[in-house]
Amino acid sequence: MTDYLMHLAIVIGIYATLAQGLNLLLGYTGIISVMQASLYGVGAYISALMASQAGVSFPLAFASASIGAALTGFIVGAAITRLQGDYLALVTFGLAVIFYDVFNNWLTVTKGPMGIPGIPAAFETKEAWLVFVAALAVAALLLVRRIDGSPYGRLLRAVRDDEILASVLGRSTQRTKTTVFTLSAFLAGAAGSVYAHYITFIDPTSFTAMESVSLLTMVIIGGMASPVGPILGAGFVVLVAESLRFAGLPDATAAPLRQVLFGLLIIVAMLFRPQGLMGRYRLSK
Amino acid sequence: MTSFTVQLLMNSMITGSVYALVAIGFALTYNIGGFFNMAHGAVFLLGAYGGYVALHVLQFGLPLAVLVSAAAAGLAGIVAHSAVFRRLALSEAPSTVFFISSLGILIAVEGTVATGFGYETIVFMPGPSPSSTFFGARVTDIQVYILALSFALLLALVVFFHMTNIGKQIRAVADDRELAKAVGISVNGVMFWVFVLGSMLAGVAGLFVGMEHTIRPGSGMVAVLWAMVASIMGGVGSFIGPVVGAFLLGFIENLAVTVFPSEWKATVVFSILILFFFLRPVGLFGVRR
Amino acid sequence: MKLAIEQLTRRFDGIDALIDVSCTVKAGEILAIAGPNGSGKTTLLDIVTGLTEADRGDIFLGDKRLIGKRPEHIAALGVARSFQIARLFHGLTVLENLIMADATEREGLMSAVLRGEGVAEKRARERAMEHLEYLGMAAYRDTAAAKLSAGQMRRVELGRLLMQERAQLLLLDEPTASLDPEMTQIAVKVIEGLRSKGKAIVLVEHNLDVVHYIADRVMVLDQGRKMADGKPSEVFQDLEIQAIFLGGGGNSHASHR
Repeated sequence: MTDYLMHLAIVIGIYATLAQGLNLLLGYTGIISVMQASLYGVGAYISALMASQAGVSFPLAFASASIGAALTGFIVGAAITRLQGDYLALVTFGLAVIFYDVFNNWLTVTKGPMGIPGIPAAFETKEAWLVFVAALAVAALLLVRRIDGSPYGRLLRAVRDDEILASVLGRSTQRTKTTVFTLSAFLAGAAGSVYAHYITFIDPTSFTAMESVSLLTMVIIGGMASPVGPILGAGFVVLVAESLRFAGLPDATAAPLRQVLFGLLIIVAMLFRPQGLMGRYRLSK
Repeated sequence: MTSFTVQLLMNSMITGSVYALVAIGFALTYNIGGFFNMAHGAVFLLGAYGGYVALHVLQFGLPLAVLVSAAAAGLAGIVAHSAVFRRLALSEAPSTVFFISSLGILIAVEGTVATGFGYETIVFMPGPSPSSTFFGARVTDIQVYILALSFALLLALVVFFHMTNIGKQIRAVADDRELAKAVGISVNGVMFWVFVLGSMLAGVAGLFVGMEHTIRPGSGMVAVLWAMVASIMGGVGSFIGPVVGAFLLGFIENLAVTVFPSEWKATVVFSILILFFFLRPVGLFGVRR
Repeated sequence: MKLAIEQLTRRFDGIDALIDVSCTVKAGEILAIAGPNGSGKTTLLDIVTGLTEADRGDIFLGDKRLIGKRPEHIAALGVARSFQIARLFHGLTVLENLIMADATEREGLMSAVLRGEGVAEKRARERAMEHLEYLGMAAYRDTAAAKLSAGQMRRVELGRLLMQERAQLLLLDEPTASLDPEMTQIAVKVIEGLRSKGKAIVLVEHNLDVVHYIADRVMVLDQGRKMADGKPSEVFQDLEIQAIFLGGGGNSHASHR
């Protein structure tokens, strides 16, 4: 039982780190990205391949995954952040499909739908994992809190509110958005590496656009532009998903029902509480 | 023309006509409602599975199945509009909120469909369909049916937009929202009809895709992404643009599978979309504003 | 620094927004732009700030060319502006809105993570508070901008202009709109104060009393064409110019198309 609870806490910690990155994008800077899970996948694949093919140690694989994902995020961000609002969201959708295609079809590297099994676990015990993942989630939290109260955080919120005004006041909105994209990709890559080494198996189905929508749900439910929001959101979403399994539903029914529930949660949040549980910010004109 | 070219053009016409049915509603919602409606994939899905139930559970004939698809999707469009989008419009929510809500509808419906039918791929028409040869190109009877009905629907739509009162109102609002408001047209009323019609067309397209290929719960998102590519290539702000974009997309897609392995089809299509975003963001028929 | 606009032309969907408009503004001078709605005033400001592209023409601030540059680069060359409808960051507080008008170099990600609040940030906040007190907005320092009335937003915009000390050219789009008479006087004083600091000022203004009182020169636009340029007292003597304002634009002499 404690093993199971610790497992849940570890999963929540991984998602909280991932959602924290999306919080910087969506909550602070107002960028809807549906490719966060793709960058998570980039991190997971880099780490898995380095560890299982080249026998690289976990710390090095973890660092490479974070930096590799950040680099991917930077390239993507530099290319697409000149697009505005909903157009940007659509392009991230397209990119999510492209990344999925690469994970699924680049057989020589990713093994395609077969996935990569036997990724060496970084820690022996659940306790050690829990400590590591908790430290990671707290580090992400502290980072976002630090940004939240700084001139940089103010710049992000300003870009979110009015890009044109920000540019007239001398800010390069494109550069700002690219930096945030890179930073959120860095967090996604770190989370992806941890996921790969914790579960010890990855395949493309964990890195779909739909997975990104779950992440959006976490940020929206938890509350945008709130540092603790993503942690609450991740906890809420993971526990709701698990409670469906506790209700005695078989996996084949629980998975689609979970999806229905997330969809409804998003709709209800948008209709009645666009600022989420903890958020101070609500999407507005 | 070689038979290869004829076959390519023929396939492109068929694919394109189905995409056009989906793209029209998607583009109109953007034009009039000002948001990208991901829930368009949900009505597509309901049309497809509605048609499947009509064909295989209720044992209806094809013409009746088309009606069931259109009705299921149209009804879903009405519900989505009145339960969610109309409320958001009344509270003057920004387009981002519309977009996220529509994403919520899409995944909720995708989950609902998966609860009933599972995540497996469903084949509507098992076994080979009888076919005929046309200038050296092989065309199945189902394809002829899809092509004929799609063109009939597109033609009916042109007539609708030009002859009926509601059609003219839709065009007026899409053309100049403020002016249309000033002459007393209700934007919300027009939006209702856009949802009904756009959803019905997408629903029928869902059935067609199921008949010609296969359907799974994830097909809804794919369909709306394809509609988005077509709309953006053609110009989301124009009437003819999305239709032309849909046929162009059909052509590109069919050409792509002769050049690249078919599993990279989506990558090719979206790469073209992203190129379009940078080279001509207003689409082929758009106007620089 | 001197602003020089040369033969600026811009069409939208076949409609002429600006046709061959040229003008100059010297340091310490206020040029008012007057004209009916749709005469091209705001388009002119948008082009100078880089928000809209010109079809033809050139713009120089001192010896620096502004045409073809991005808004943030133009801002960095010393151009500040206000908007026809007061434009603030709605999710930011009044104080934060003012500080956003200050220097940009503190906003790095690295300094956010590694360093605490710097001296420059503190100094900026003190300056912002001084301006807010002068404008009677000190009590609203922590209020979100979205919650302000139109008049209050206008005051915050004035405060933002005051914060932009390094700006050499100020483009003001109807700064007195939605202000009561008392606040209008304060706004006029603020603008005069900025002139006395040697800034070049372009003022789009509907209130002709304000134009008469404050402007050194006035340029009249009608349907994208420059109709007059000179001292306000002389320009408004002209019967043709009076007709533009009385008739609300679209006069026969302006319609060569």
